[in-house]
Amino acid sequence: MDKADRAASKPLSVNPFQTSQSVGGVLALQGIYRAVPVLHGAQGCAESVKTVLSRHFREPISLQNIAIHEQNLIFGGGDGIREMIRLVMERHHPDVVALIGTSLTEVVGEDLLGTAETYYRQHKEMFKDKLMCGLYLPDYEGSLESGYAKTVFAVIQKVIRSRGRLSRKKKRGRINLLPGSHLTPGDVMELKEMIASFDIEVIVLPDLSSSLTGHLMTGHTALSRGGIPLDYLREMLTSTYTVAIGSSMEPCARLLQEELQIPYQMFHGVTGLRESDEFFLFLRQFSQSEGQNKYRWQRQFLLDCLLDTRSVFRGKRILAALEPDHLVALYQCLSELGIKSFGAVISAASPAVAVIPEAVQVGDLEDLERMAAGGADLWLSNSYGEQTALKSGIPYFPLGFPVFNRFGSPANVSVGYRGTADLLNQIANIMNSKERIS
Amino acid sequence: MPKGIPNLYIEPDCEHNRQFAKGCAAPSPGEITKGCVFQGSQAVLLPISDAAHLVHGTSGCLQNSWSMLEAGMPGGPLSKFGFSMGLTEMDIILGGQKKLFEAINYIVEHYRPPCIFVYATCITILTAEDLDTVCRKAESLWSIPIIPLHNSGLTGSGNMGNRQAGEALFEKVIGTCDSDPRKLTPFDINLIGDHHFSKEGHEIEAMLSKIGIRVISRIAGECTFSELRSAHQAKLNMLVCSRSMVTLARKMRDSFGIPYFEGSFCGSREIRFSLRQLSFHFQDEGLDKQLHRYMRREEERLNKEILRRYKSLKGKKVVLFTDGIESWIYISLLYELGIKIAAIGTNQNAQEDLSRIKERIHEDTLLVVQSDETRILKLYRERKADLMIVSGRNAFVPLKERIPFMNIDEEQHGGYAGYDGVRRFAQGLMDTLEQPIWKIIRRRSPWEVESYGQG
Repeated sequence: MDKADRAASKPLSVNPFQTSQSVGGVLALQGIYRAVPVLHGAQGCAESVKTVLSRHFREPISLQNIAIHEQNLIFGGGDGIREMIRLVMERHHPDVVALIGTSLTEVVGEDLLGTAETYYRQHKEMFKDKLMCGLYLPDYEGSLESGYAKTVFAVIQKVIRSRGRLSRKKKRGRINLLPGSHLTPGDVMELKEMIASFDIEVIVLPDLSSSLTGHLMTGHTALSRGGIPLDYLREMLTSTYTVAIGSSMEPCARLLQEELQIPYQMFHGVTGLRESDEFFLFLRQFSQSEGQNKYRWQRQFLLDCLLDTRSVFRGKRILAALEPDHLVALYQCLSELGIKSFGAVISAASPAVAVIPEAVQVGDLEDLERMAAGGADLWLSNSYGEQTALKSGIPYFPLGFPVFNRFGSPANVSVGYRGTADLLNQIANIMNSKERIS
Repeated sequence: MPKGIPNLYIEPDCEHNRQFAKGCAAPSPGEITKGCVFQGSQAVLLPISDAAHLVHGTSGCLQNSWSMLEAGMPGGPLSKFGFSMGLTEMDIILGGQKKLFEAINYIVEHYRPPCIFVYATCITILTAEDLDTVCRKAESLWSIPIIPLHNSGLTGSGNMGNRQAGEALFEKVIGTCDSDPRKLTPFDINLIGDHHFSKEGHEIEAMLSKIGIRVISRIAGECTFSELRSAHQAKLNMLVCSRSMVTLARKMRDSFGIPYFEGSFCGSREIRFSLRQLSFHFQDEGLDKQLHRYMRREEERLNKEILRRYKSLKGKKVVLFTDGIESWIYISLLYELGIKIAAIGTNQNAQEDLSRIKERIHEDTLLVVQSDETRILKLYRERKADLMIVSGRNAFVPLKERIPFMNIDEEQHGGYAGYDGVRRFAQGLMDTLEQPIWKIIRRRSPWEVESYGQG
C-alpha cells in the first residue's frame, strides 16, 4: 500500500497521473487575496506549475520564481532569494508572500526559509501588515493534495504565531471552512451558499470560489485576484467551529483546535446522500434554525435521481485514478447506489482510503489499465488518463486535476444534494450513451 | 559531466557568438522564462513517435511535457506514454542507477521501442548519476540505441535544451542507417524547427510536394526513429523559423556537406524568399520554373482575394504581444493584409528574433523589448488599436481587460503557414473583429442602469 510496495513491483511509473506538491501549494495560495507564491526551483519548475494550473482553470496564476542557476550552486543562492523577496515586495506589493522550496532546494541544500526569516527580521518595516510564510514541498513525496494541505497548514500556523494582541473572544455564529484540494471553486461557492443560508458567517481558507472561477473584476494583475483577504483571514482565530472537507485538511483543523480550542468536524467531501445529510444536520444544529426550503426540495430531487440512475449503475465496474480524498468522497457517493466493483489507484499513500473495502493501490495509469483488462464500465481520472480510457473502449469521465480541453470544469458542483444529483446524472449519461451506441 | 559543456555558449553561426560573457551573466530572479533545458529537449524529441522517453527525475519533471502533448503537440503511440522514474527521497540518497537500469529493461520488455531517450534532470545531475554507463550497459544488453541526454534545467532556457537535443540526435542518431537508395529523389530535404510543427508541418509539406520537393525527415515534427537515422541523405536542410537548432544544421553541413538556410512560410513574402532559397540551392532549371509558376499563380490568386474578401482588414491597427519566433513571423503577413502594427511587445527573445523584428517593421511601429503588461496595455490604448494579437499566457492580459484579442498559439489553430495559412489568418482576424462579444462584454449591468432603452 505504500511507496515501498510499488518500488518492489515496478522500477518506474508509466503514465503517472499525479501532479507535484508544489502545484497544490501554488493552488492553495490562489485562494488568498493579493497573495504571491514564490517558487524556489530551476526555471522550468515554476513554468510547468503555472502552465498546468492555467490550462486547468483557464485563468492567470499568480506565481513568481527564484530561478536556481549554476552560479547559485557554486556561490550560494542567498543573494538570489533576498533579491527576489525585495523585488516582489517592491514591484507588486502583495499582502501575502509564500516561499515554496522544491526537491531541488533540498538537494542543493539551500536554507531557503532561514534566509527568508533573516531577511524578514532585517526589513520588518517592509512587511508591516503583511504575511510572509514558507515551506518545503519536494515532489519526491506526496502529491497535489498533500502540497495543498501543507500550505494551508503553514499559513494558519503563521497567522496564529503573528496574531499579536488580537482579541481572543470567540465570535458566536461564525465557522471556519477548510475545503480540500478536491473541491472545485464551484463546490466551495455552493458550500458557502449552504452555510450562509443558515445565517452562519463563514471564513473560507483557501477561498478559490472568488478567485479561480473566472471574473473580470480586477483587470490585469500579477497577484492573485480573489480569495480571502488577509485581515479577514486573521479573524479565523476567533471562530467558534471549524469544518474541514477531506481528511488531508484534518491536521489544519486540529491545529486550530489544539492552539485555540476551536472544535471541528471533518467530512470527506459532502458528496452523496449520507454526507450531505450529515452536513445539513450539522448546519441545523449549529445555527439552531431550519434553513431554507429549497434544500428540502433539492433532497427530494436527489432521492428521485438516485432511483432514476440506479439502473445504470447496477452491476457496473468502475475504475478511478484520483487523489485519496477525492477518491473517498466519490466512492462514498457511488457505493450508495450499489455498483458491483470498484478498482482504484491513488497518487500517494493516505490513511483516508481505509474506508474503501476494495483494494486501492498507489500507482499509475498503467496499473489502472491493467485493472481494466477484465472489462470496465467507467473510467474516472484527470485528462492524463483520457487516451488510455478511450483506447480501452471504456466510457471516460474527467475528474480530478488537471482537466484539459473542457470548458467550465472548475465551476462543476458535486457537493450537497443538488451537486450530487448533477454528478450522478452526468456520469450516468456518459455510461448510458455508450450503451446506446454499442 | 558530459563533454562539450564549455562550448555550449559558443555557436559560430550565430550573431552573438562573440559575446563570451553571455554564459556567465547572473540570472535575474523573478522572471518566469519559457521552460528549461530539460523541457526544451523534450519538445524536440517527443515528436519522434515510436521512441520511448524516460525521465530520470522526480515526478514533477514530467508534468510539463504531459501538458504539451495534451495541447495538441504531435506525438506517436509511444511518445505519448509518460515514463518517469518518480524518484523518491531514498532513491536520491542511495542513488538511482540500479533502478534506472531496471526501468529501461521494463520498458524494453513491455513496449519494445526502437530506441529509448533517457533524460537527466537537475536532481540527477546534482547527485552525479552516471547515465552514460547505465545506458551503455542497457544498450549492449538489448542492442537498441539508448541515448542519454544531459540536460539539467539549471543550465538555461528551453532554447538551450532544443540545441542539446539536436546535438544528441547528431551524435547518436543521424547517419546511423541508410535508407533504400531507390527511394531517394534529387530534391530531398529535412525540415528543422525548434517548435514542433503539427498541422503547420503538413501544410508546408503539402506545398513543397506540389513543386516536387520531398521532405524526408522533420526534426521536432512527427517523425519515426528510422526516418531520422537517414536524415543525412537529404540534399538540403531548411531551418523553419528557428535559431536554437542552428548547431545541428551547422554540424550536418560540416560532416555530411548538407547546406542549410533559414526561412519561414508565413505570408507570401516569406514564402517567396524561402522557395527562392530552395531553388538557389538545387540549381535546377526545371524546378526553378515550376516553382516560379507556382508562386505566381498562388500570389495572384491571393492578392485578388486580399483586395476583395479581406479588404475590411486594411488600415486596422493591431498590437502584437507575443514571445519568441511568434513575435516576428507574423509581421510581414500582417503588412501584406494592409494591417498596421501599432506596437510589438516581447519578452523572451533570442537576439536573432529581435533583429528579425527590426528588419521587418515599418517606422510607425514601436518595438518594446522586455515589456511588462502594464506598458503594453497603455500603448494599446494610447495608439487606439483595434486588436491585440497574443500567444500563450499573454492571452490573459487582454482577456482580463476585455480588449479584443486573438490567440495565435499553434496548439489552438494549427498554424498559419502557406498561402492557405494567409487566408485562414485573414479570415480569423476578420471573424474575431466582427464578434459582437467585444461590445456585449462592456454592457452595463442591471445594477448600474435604470433602463436599457432601445439598446
